[in-house]
Amino acid sequence: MDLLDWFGRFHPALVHFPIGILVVGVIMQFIAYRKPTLNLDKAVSNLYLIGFVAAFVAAFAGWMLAQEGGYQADTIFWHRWLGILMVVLAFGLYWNSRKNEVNHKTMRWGGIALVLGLMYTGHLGGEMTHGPEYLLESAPDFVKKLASYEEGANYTVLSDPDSVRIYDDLLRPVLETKCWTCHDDNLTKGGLNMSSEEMLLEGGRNGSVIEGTAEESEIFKRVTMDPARRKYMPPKGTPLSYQEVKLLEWWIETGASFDKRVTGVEVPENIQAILLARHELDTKPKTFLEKTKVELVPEEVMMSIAAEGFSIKPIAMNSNFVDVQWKGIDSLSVDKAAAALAEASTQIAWLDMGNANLSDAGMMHLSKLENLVRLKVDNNPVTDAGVKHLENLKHLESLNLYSTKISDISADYLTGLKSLKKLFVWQTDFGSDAAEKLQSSIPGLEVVQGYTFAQPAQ
Amino acid sequence: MTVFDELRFRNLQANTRRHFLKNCTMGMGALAMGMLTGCAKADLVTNESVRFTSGRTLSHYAARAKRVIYMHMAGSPSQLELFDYKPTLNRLHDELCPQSLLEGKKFAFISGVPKMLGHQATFAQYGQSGTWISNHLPYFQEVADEVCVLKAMHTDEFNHAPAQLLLYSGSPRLGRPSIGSWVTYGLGSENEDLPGFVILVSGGKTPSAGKSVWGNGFLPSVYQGVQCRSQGDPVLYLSNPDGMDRNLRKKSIDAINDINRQEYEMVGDPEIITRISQYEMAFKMQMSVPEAMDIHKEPAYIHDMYGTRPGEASFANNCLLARRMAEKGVRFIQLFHWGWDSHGAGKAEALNHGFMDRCREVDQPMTALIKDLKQRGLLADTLLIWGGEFGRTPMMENRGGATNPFVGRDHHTDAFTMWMAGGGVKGGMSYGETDEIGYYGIQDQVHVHDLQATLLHCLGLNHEKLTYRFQGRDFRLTDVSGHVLKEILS
Repeated sequence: MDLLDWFGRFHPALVHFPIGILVVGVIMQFIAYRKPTLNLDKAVSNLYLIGFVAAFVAAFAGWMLAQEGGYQADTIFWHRWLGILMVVLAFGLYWNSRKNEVNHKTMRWGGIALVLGLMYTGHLGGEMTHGPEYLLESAPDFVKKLASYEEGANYTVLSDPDSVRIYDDLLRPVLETKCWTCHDDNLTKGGLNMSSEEMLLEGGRNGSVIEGTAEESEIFKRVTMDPARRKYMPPKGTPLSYQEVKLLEWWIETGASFDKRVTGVEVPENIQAILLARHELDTKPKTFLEKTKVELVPEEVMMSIAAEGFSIKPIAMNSNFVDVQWKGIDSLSVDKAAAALAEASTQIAWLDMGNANLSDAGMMHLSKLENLVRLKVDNNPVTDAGVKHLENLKHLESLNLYSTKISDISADYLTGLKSLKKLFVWQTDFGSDAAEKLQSSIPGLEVVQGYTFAQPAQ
Repeated sequence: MTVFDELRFRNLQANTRRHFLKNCTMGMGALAMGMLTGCAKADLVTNESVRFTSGRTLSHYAARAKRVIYMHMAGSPSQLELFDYKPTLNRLHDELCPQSLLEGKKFAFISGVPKMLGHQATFAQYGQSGTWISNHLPYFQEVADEVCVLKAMHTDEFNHAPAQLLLYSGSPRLGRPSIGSWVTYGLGSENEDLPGFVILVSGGKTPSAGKSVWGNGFLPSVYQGVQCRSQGDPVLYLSNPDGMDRNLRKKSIDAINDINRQEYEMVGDPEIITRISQYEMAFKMQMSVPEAMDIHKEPAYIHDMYGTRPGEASFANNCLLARRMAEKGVRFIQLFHWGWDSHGAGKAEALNHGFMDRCREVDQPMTALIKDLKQRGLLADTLLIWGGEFGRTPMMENRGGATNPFVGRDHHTDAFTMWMAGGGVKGGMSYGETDEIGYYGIQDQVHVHDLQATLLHCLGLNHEKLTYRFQGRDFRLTDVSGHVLKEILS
């Protein structure tokens, strides 16, 4: 049997000779019609005979080669049976050409069919050895366009994480091209069929291939072991890339589920990078402002806030949240002006009232701005009592209180602000102890207390 | 009949009605084409000018940074003496450069076979991030965890002027708008009394590419950078001449603007709107600029921190001014320092002399700027960028095949280092890697167009959508390239 396997490997070497001979045969047959005086009939007949015998040998070798497996199922199916059909056709033409009463019509159409058939069968063979994109890769642009071939389009662009399923959209395409050639309905090597979800979970002859963790799972072990080992998968063809291995690992670790979506699980940072690179899929967790939708601020509200001495504008084209800055010159009326902000209480996301002579009375109005994310009230006569007004601003991420009159007491009012990431308290009486206390109750909070100048040690 | 008359006559005879129709159709076609493609279409531009004055936003997405402070080290500092540590290069010191590195390469000065040059510095890792920084930047070591170091930058141009133009306008040739102009065009200004795009120059010379690096190109000229000086009058000819008081000045500007407005209504040239707003801006700047540029009132500990001495045209003063402008909402603040072109042909441009002076001049103030912005809460929405227009070779320069009197390196386009900080960029990160002698980037390479795209992205602008139609096509800063470095965004 080994000897036959070896013989199979000669298929690519043997296959070109009969193709050449048979094509020459058809050409000569057509010349013979035009120039009967040349007496080519005998030669044509002999060419078909030689072509048939050579084709038979080549097809036999091909059959042996196909036994080894590892080819795309439908391509090998068509290549195999079309090849055999060509052998039969060659014999038919030979047989017909030897008759005394040659049926010219049959011969003519048979010849044409043979040439076309050889071309297509040969193309399928080439596709299997060189890969399906071999011809188009270096084709001129207009050909690529005709074949709607896209450069480097070996991955799909997925835009919306909500609709992307981990298995179906990310992993299955990988398994389909790299594993299914030997592990599908047609060829179930090792008893493993990966083309259906139930069969994949069922595993192969030696039991399940997917366990709780990637490292215990046979499927993961096989694709990550030393490629020189006999058990390494895939035994031939392109191995799984690093990214693909990582995706497989991630899929197993998240429970090897067939219906989980990317948004349903936590995406680790390395997988985020892979998804971005392979599928242009941005899986970074959306910020509060990206997730939340609010009503548009009415034009007249915009006008009335602006009339109080603020500049007000959307934070971005596609967002209804607004960025508000104090521009007023009349710093005596600032506390009163702040009352106007309540009209856009849900939409104000960023507020800058730094250096505005804002006092605790004005801070009171800010307590209504429920979706405030960034607040700057630095360089103001604000005290701890003013900070107390902020204690319910759950979405506050950045709070600038530098150069105000606050003290350690403010820490107590801020402990509930779990979203807070940055707190600026330079030039205040807010001490290091209060900062530490606050940091212990809000994980991830950075308290910036300022720097003192120091000459670096040389 | 003279020969010329005859020629004219013949010519007229030859020009038949058919010729007239033929020329006419083509001509009409050309006219229609011109209108379709939008050449010389005034209303588009006008809308932009109006938009600028009304200060509406064009952010494509929520901005990470509201403003930029760009510190340019003109002449290009050596990354191999500051950030890119390559022990192998030290081992190869004084050996002849292998031919494989020279084949097909163009250098500004190196000819023949140069010698490799080991680091003229010692390196260590700093901060929790373990960022490599050399001994030339002792202050900067303290803020290692605030900056993102881009180690595999590369550019296309190996001479100063074109490289600077490529970096600032996206094209190595003259005529395109600079980054600051694009940004103020896209976002407008946050302060109605100060220009949105300010330039501060130190080191004695403007960059080689001249003022084009802050020019507005084909954008309306309201978007061009305004150079402010830290010595003498902050802006040239800003103060009133003797005998003219502010009221009189106001009246004359109002009168001029009235006439200009009438002219605009008549001809509709958008540059007239620009001129009107410039007059108004200049009048406001007479008050606002001296106030913004006056660093005397800064407390002593701030002067200590930056190492500033009021009245000088120094990089330190400019860093402090940059912070003051950032506080006042200036959109794009561009600092140029000069003298980093360390060839080694003279003492002032030697790695072991002039280069070290330059390092001393920038190290303390740029570190102070990061810290000062941070303690004021401004670092979170201010994007800082630092770097030159290209890098320097791992080989010692041998000008004309002879040994230079001092140690220096030639211009190098394939690998150099820049750093970014603040405004939505991850701190304490090194991005990209060069080969073992720092000759080529081998991982996460960043082209100057990628840097531009990332800069715009941080400001909430999509570099592919921020376009301006000129001469019949939409132009953009990154032209047809540029990728946002999503990996370095926080």
